[in-house]
Amino acid sequence: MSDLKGKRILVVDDEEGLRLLYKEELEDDGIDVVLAGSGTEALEKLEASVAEMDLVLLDIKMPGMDGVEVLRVIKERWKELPVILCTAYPHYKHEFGTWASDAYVVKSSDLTELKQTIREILLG
Amino acid sequence: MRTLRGTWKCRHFQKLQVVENVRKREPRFSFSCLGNSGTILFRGSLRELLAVYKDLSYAIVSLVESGTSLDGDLEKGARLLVEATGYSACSVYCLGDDGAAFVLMAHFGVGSLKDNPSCVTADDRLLKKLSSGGIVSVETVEPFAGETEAGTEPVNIYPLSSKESLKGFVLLRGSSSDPVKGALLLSAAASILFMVIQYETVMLRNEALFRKAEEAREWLHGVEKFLYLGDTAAMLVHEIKNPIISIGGFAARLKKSIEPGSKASLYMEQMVSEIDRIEKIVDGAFRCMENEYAKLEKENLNSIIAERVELFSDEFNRLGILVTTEFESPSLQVMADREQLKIAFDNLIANAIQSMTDGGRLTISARRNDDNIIVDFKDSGCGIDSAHVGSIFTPFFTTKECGTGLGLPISNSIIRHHKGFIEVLCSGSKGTTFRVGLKGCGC
Repeated sequence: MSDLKGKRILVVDDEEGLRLLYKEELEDDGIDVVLAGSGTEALEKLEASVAEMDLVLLDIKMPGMDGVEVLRVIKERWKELPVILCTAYPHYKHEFGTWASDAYVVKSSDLTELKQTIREILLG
Repeated sequence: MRTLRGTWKCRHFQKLQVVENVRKREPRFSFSCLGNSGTILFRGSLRELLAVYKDLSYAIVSLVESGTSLDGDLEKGARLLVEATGYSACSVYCLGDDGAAFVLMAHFGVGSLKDNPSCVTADDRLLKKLSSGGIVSVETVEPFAGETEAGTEPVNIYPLSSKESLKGFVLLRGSSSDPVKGALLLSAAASILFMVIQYETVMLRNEALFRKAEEAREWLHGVEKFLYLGDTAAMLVHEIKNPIISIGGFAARLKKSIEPGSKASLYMEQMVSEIDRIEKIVDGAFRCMENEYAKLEKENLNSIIAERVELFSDEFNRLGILVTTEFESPSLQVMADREQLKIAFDNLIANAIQSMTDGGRLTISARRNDDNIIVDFKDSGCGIDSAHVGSIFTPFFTTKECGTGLGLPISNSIIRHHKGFIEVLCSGSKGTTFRVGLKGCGC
């Protein structure tokens, strides 16, 4: 697990419970977690310190700016920054706007698949 | 003042001439019509003419408004005709839908329904006689010909027809008490009986249409309710999913930090398992709702089925289930969303497995039928209780302890979005067969 130590992930989700869950789980693996509760907050945080960010974990359905719009902005401005779309809804996979993400994971209380995907992307 | 003087064409009469009576300034009519014994001339005023028609016309027309059945109405019409004209009996025959024979519908007067032939073939000879438009003696008309022996009453038939169609005829025994009035009344009654029969056909057609419209309205109402339920369910499911993931995730973390084997650990295990179950239900409900997004492409059905059978091979071996696949051709092509069709088939196979926990046989066969591909899943399991067969595609309906009741509804939903069908062909103690129909790709 220590191979992920020092990596920094931005977790973007409007659900406080899920933000906390991801933080707890990812910090177990030594990952540094930055939280954002909305698309706007996420972009603000990236503006401030994108160079230190290794990955973005992005929810889709959020009030205000949704995940697809945030994804578009990130890919326009910071093309090399990997983004994992993590959503409760499987059907967004069919939408063209989501295809720019590096991965699409359906949320589950079992975080094995999500953690595996994060590992694959961070360790390349 | 406009004058009615002149000669008018009239359907019922050969010639209707209006002659003004200069002295009384009241139009008078003269016309000729075919009576029992040849041409009859009528001369009279409009008032006299209307009086002849009025009572009988009103009486018969009122039947149309209050009638309960066609033969009931026709019997009343026959009675009114007999009473008005003085014939001793009237039998009403209607032309059958196939146009091949006239069927006896009603009788009033001397004798009874049983005394008349119940059916008369609509042969060319009879039809030609009826097309003459007037009263016809039955001396040479089968099967009535033998009736007109010496000493018996005259027997005549009169058509019930319009210019466009013949609906039947009335059989009249005896003679009218007043030849002229009788002829007029007969003509009027025939027109009205024709209308009664015509009305009945239209009413029946309208009733059938009305019933169909009612059924469609009820079905639509049911669909609307279902859609509303679906919308509510969708909203509920969306709202539940995130909190469930949160609870499940933290419960799993908590379980890791509790001493294994302790009571707390047991409670946590129970909670995690129940949350897992809720998640599966929510995911299943999602799948039911989301697969409107089926993207249909040409797919090889044989390979999809083979792949799914392979996926379940461990289960088949463990339970002792023998699986056979029978394909009409080595490469049956269907229009399908491969991922969704896999899910649909998986659920059908899982359902079959659950009914054969002590072993059995599963046969999956596929063949072409015109533009469709038919796939049958036949198992030798315990069958579906006949009381439950109607509910197997209802979401959350299950008779199994650990079932979510979503497998078959999901398959149903997927197949319907493929513009196909799924049905239980038969189910009993020898097993169940599910039949799935899919669109072939036309090649």
